[in-house]
Amino acid sequence: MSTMDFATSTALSLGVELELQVVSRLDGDLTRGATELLALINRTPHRGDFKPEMTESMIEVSTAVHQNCLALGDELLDARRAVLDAADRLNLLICGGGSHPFQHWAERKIFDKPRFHELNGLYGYLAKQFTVFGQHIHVGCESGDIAMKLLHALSRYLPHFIALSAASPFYQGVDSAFDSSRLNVVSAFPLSGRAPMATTWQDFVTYFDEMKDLGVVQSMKDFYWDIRPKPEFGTVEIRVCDTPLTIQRATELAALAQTVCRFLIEEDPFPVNESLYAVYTVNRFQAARFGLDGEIIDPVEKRRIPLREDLLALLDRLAPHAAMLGTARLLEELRIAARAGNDASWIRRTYAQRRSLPDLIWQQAGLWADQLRAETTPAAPLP
Amino acid sequence: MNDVFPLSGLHFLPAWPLQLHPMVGFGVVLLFAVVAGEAASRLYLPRISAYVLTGVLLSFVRGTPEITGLVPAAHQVYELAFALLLFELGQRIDLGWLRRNPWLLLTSLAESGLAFAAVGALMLLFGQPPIAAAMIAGLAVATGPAVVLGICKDTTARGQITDRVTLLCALNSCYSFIMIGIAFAWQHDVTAAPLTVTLLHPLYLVLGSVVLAALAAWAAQYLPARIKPIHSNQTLASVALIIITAALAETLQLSVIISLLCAGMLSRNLDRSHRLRPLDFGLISRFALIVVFIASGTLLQPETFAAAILPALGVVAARILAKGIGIFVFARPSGLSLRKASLLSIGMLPMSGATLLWVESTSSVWPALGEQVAAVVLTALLIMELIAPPALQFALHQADETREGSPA
Repeated sequence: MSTMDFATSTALSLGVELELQVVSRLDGDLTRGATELLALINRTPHRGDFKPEMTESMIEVSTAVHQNCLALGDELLDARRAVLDAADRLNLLICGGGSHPFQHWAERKIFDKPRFHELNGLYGYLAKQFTVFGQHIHVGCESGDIAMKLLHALSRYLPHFIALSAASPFYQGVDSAFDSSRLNVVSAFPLSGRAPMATTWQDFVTYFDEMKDLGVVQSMKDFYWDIRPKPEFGTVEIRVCDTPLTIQRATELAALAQTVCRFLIEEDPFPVNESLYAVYTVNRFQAARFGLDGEIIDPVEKRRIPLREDLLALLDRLAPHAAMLGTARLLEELRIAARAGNDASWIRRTYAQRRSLPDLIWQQAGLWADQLRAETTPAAPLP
Repeated sequence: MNDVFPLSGLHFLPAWPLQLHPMVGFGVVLLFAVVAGEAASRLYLPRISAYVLTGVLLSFVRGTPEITGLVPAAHQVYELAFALLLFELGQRIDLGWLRRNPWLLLTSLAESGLAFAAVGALMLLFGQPPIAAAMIAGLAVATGPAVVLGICKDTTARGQITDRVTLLCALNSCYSFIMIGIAFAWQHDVTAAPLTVTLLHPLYLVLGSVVLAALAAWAAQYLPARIKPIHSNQTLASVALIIITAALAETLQLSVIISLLCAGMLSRNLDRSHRLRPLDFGLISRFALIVVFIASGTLLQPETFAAAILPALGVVAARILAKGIGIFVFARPSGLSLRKASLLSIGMLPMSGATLLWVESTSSVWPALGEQVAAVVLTALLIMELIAPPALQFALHQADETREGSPA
């Protein structure tokens, strides 16, 4: 079986990967601890699969395949307990968020694995700047053709995922003014952005083989697209989300992905063609810069619309599908977040109150560990 | 002769031969140390090794320890510099870690206890009187805080080994002080002081030092947090507090080591809102490092080397073995691989320069005892000052905790 054969998976099955920050309790800065952390986590049985990432300051946890979002959320909670137990013993903090607010990229240490050293050699400072933290959501597809169609259709709702997950306003010690500064870091890579307009799996494989023959890529891993097919899993992978500040939000985003995919497959609401991408980068910028306050252009209806309004309309349209999938309660939380503000606004608000970036990391870690919810989470409704 | 010397009429010229201002010597030594440090770092050796070497050379050049050694002024500069480093080290200690990972406390007690027992037993075998054996063993317990801090800063190390060396070093420095305090009390007993005095002395030392530390920590919290962090004002305020604390510890005959280490620890652990980043004293602490290591270099007495080499090697070996065992036994439960445990053991090698102060104060009270202790301990310290800094740097580099591109 070739690596580009599309493995069939159950439609709308779900898996999530979260990249987490490994932070020192000494000063709140990123620290080198992935090796010890992984060794310690893997000593005891736990759910969730932990892997090293690009630098020693980052670990990744991925879930098994789920049909039900609540079960996925349970697994993530269990994985969180495992990583927090280990982190406690090593005097580390673990937190969500798409970027570390004040780390300096030059101080990162590349994890000792051949692929990572290779990337460091190729991309230079970009590889170390890539110390940003994202949530990847895999949605199962029965065939490669369905996957390609879903991939392009999903691009219509990419800004919604960006705005809801955005959690990286601070980057290298300054407020970037972006809700998701992380996306700008990703954009610097030559193979980032969108996938080519291939609508069948065969077309896509033709494109891939061409790129491979030209020596541009060696495997699918070399594409850093916002949404990409993952043939060995039989999934479409949404990669634009910042790692949220809480497990709850991560679960809600997975629920949104699953429900949107069901909606797109069942209702086939608009034709899939190149015109979807005419305003893609503009919409992506609006969502990353202004979050839920952005204004996007609907590529189908050809009109400007506030992102928040479009999101609320989408959630309305998703209601019957959410009822079928059992994601209604999770999407309701997103509806509240759409009004009250995303994680980026929580971060800015917390910083405004406490005026200290190291303290901000402490608060983020507390939120991740679920120790602060009562105190700080209730968001003031937007004026 | 002077009469025919053509310049003798020029009264504004300095008298001949020139009487150099002492500061010239100091500047030259400082410059030499900095340049030697740079040279060392190009040879992938720690800079502090070069500072120690500068001190050793200086002691040869100037000869008599009355000039190079702990003359009162130099002694005070040395103590202040050391106090600053202790505070900085204390700030890197998170006492909550011991609660979250109790195996670390056991590691700490084991490595210190075993080192004390092993070195003490060995010294008895070498025929030292029990009181001298206890003192040497107590001194062997401590890992050198200045070396640990100096190397960690030089290599901008971050990670588990760095954090653990720092923690264990701070703890065993405290234990060492308490052990020697008790040994001092015991010596008082031997010289027939009443029992109450024997018991009260260590109690006064420890409790008094901790109370002083708490006051200093409170002040370090309260004051710098209210000073704008521009022009290094916060840092300077903290330095001033450290100077006051160290001087008060002296005045009250408390422990400078415990006071400053605890002040550092408490000021960090009391910082509930994480407002104060751990203070980096930057240039000041770099200066302090150079002074401390040159001073220890001048005090190492190579001439005792031949006489005490065997027991000193014994101290070194017993100490390495005991600390290694203590660390290995609890490595796995505390969350460390055996490879990292061996690196941690190597990292624990440095002996404390505070030893010099102890030997000095022992000698001043009981000259005979001081001599017995000094020969062995100073020779062991000399060996360790040469081996330990490169070893610690090697361990941190092997653990992949040093910054890329830094010499190691």
